[in-house]
Amino acid sequence: MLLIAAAVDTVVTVGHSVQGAQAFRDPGHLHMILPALIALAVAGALSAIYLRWPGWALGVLAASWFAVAYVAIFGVFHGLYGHALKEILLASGAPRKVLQEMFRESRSVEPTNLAFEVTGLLSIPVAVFVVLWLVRFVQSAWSGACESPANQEQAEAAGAGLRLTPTRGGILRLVDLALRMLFDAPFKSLGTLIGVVVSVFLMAQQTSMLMGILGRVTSFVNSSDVDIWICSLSTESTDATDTIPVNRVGAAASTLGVAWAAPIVQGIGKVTRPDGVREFVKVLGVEAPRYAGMPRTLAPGTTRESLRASRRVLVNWNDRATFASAVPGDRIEIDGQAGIVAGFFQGMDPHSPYYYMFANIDDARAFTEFPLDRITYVAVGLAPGEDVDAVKQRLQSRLPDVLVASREEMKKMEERYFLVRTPVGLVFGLGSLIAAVIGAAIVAVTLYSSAVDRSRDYGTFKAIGARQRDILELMLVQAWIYFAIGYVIGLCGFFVVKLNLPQLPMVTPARLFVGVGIASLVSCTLSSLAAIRRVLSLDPAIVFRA
Amino acid sequence: MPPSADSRIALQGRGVGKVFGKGELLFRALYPTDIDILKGEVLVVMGPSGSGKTTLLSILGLVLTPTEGQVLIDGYDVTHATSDDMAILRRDRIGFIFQQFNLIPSLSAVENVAVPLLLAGIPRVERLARARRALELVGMGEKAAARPRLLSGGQMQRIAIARALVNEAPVMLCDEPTASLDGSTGRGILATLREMAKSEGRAVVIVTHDERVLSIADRLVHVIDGRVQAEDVNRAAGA
Repeated sequence: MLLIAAAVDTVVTVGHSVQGAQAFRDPGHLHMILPALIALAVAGALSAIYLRWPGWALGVLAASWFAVAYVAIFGVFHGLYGHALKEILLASGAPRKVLQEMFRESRSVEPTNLAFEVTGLLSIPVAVFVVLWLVRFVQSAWSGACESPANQEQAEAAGAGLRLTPTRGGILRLVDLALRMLFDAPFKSLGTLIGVVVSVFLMAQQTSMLMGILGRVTSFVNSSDVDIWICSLSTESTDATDTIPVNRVGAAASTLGVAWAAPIVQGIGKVTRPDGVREFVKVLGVEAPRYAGMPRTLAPGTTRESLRASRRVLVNWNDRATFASAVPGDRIEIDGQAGIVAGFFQGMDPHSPYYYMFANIDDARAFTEFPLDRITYVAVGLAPGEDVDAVKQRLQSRLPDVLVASREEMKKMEERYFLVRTPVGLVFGLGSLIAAVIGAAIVAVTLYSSAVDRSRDYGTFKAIGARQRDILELMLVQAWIYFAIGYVIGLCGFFVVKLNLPQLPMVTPARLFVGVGIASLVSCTLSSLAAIRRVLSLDPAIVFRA
Repeated sequence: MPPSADSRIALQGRGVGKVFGKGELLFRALYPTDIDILKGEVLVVMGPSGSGKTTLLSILGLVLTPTEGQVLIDGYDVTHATSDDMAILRRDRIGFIFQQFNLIPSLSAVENVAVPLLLAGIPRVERLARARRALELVGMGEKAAARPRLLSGGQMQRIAIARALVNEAPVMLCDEPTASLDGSTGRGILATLREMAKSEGRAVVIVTHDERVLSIADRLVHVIDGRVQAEDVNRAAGA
C-alpha cells in the first residue's frame, strides 16, 4: 500500500513540477521530482524487504519512519504548508510581507495557476492515505497480527497447500454490483446525486466566473503587444498607480534591447449616457504612430489611425449599448468635452465600474486634465531575439525610481491586487469551497447512512468471502459513480447557464473542468471515508444474528 | 502433503475456544474443543440459546478468530492466515447458510447466487451460467430473475443454498437453516442439504434448535454453557 501511495505521489509530484516549470517558465519548480523519485525507490526497497521478511522488526521500524518522513515532506510541507496554508492566507488577505516571509522558499507566492495549485494540493490526500496506512500498520504490528516469520510460513503453507484461488479482475468488476446497490434506494441516491450536481455546478460556475473576471482584470496588460511595462514604484495594479515623468520614455527607448518605447496616459473621466447618467471611464491615451497599449483586436472597419483626427475615441465593442454609440461618428461627451466615436476595440472588457476608452495621447490629456509633463506608463517592445528578463534588468538599472515589470509580472500584479485587495476573490473562492463542502457532506451522510442500513449486506459479503480490499473498492466505486454522474449533470447545468446568460464573465478553459473534476472526485472519495471505516470495521459475525 | 494424514476430515477444530471481553467483563463463550467434520457427513450441533454453538460455527467458518486452538482445513492450519486469505478460504472452501437467508435485496436470485463468483473475479457470462446451474440444482431455476422480496422463505433459503454451492465449497455451515420455514418447506431444505452431503461428498454442519434436523444427521453434538458434550450417536442414528 505504501508503494502504491509513493507511486501515486510520484506521478502527482512529477506532473505538478513539470506543470509548474512550464507555467512559470522556471525550471526551479522541478526540485520536488528528485525527492519523489527517491521516495518511490525507498518505498519499493522497503516493500521488498517487508515482503521478504515481514516480521523483521527493523523493517517494520524503517517502513514506519519512512512513512512519517514521507508524510512530513510531501503531505505537511509541500501540500499543507506550501499550498493549502498559502492559499488560505492569500484568500484571507494576509499582508504580502508576511506571505513573503513565510514562503520565502516558495517559487511563487501567488496562486495564479489554478491547475498548478490543485495538483499541489493532491499531495495531501496521498499523505492522508499514508497516515491511515501507518496507523493500521502500527496497530497490526503492535497487536501481533503482523505476521511473524513462523505465522507467515503457515499462511504460505495454507496458500500453497490449499491452492487458494487468486482473485481475478480489477475494481471494474464491482461497478455493476455498486450500481445495483445504489439504485436500489432511488430516493436516497437521487438526493445524493442532487448534492453532487449542485456542488459540481457551483464549483464550476464560481471558479469560471472568477477566472473570467481575472481575465478581464488582466485584459489591459494582456491584450496588447507591450512586452515590458514601466510605471510608478507605488503601483499595485493599473487601478492603483501613480504618474511618472514623461522623460522616462526616452531613457527606456535608448536602452539596449529595446525596439521601441511609447508613453501611455491613464485618466478618469465621466461620460454622460443618452439617458443622462454619468459613467466613469478610464481614458487611455496612446501615441501615434504605434498606439502602444491598444488591444491587438479592433472591430471590423476600425483602424488605429482613426485616432489621428482630433477628439476621436475608440469604445469597447461590448459597451456600445451602454453609450448608445452604435456607429462611428456618433458624438460622446467626456467631462463636458465633445468626443466622436471613431471605432471600436475588442477583447478588453472592463471588470470595474470604469469603462475603457482609447484616445490619442493629447486628447486623453485634454479629456482628463492630465499633466503634460507626466505619463502613467511607458510601454516597451523588445528587439527581436532579446530576452525579456535581461532587458528588464537593464531598464531597472537605468531607471531605479520606477517599477519595471514584464507582461507576466504585470498580469500577476493585477490578479494579486484583485484577489487580495477586493472581496471578490474571497467571495468566489469561498463559494467554490462551500460548494465542495456541501457536496462532500451530502455524499458523506448518505453513504454513511447507506452503510448503516446495509450493515447486514456488507456483513454477508464479508462472511461469504469479500476481502477488506473488495469492500473498500465497492464503497469507493459507489462514491465514484456518484461523482461521475453528478459531474456530467453538473457540467451540463453549468453550460445551460453559460449559454443562457452570456453577460456573465464565465470562461471555460480545459483546466477548469479538470480542476473541478479532481476537486469533486477528491471530495466524493474523502466523504466516503467514514462509511468505508464503518463497513471495514464491521464484524462479519453480524450475519449470524437474527 | 498436509500435516494431518486423515483425508476424510474436511474441517477440524483443535482445542478451539473463545473468550470475549477483558477483566471483570471476561466471558468464556466456548471452552477448548476438539471437533472433526468429515467429508460427506451431516453433523448437527444442538444446544440452548447462548450455549456457544454459533460461536463454534463462526470459528469453524473462519468468521471469528479463536482465542485458543487451531482451525484446520484439509489438514492445514489456517488460524494464522491473513485476513485476505481467510476471506478467500471462506469464499472458495466454505458455503454459508443463514437463518435470515441474508440475500442482497437489490440483486436478483441469480445475481445473489453469483456473488461469491463475482468476488472471485469470474467473468460475468461464466458466473451467471454457473449461478443458474446452482439454482437448478436446488429447484429454483425458474426464479432466477426474481428479487428476494418476491420470494417465500423456503425459496429464499434455497437460493441461499445455491449461493453456498456455487463455488463448489467442500464444507457447508448452516445456522438454523429451517428456523424461519414452515414444516414442509423445512423438510425440503433438509432433504436438499442431505443430498449435498451424500451425493457430492460435502461436509455439512447444521447448528439448530429444530429437532426435525435430526432426521438427516449422521452425528449429533450438544453444546451447553460453552462446552461441547459427548456425541449423542444413538439419538442421531435413531432419528
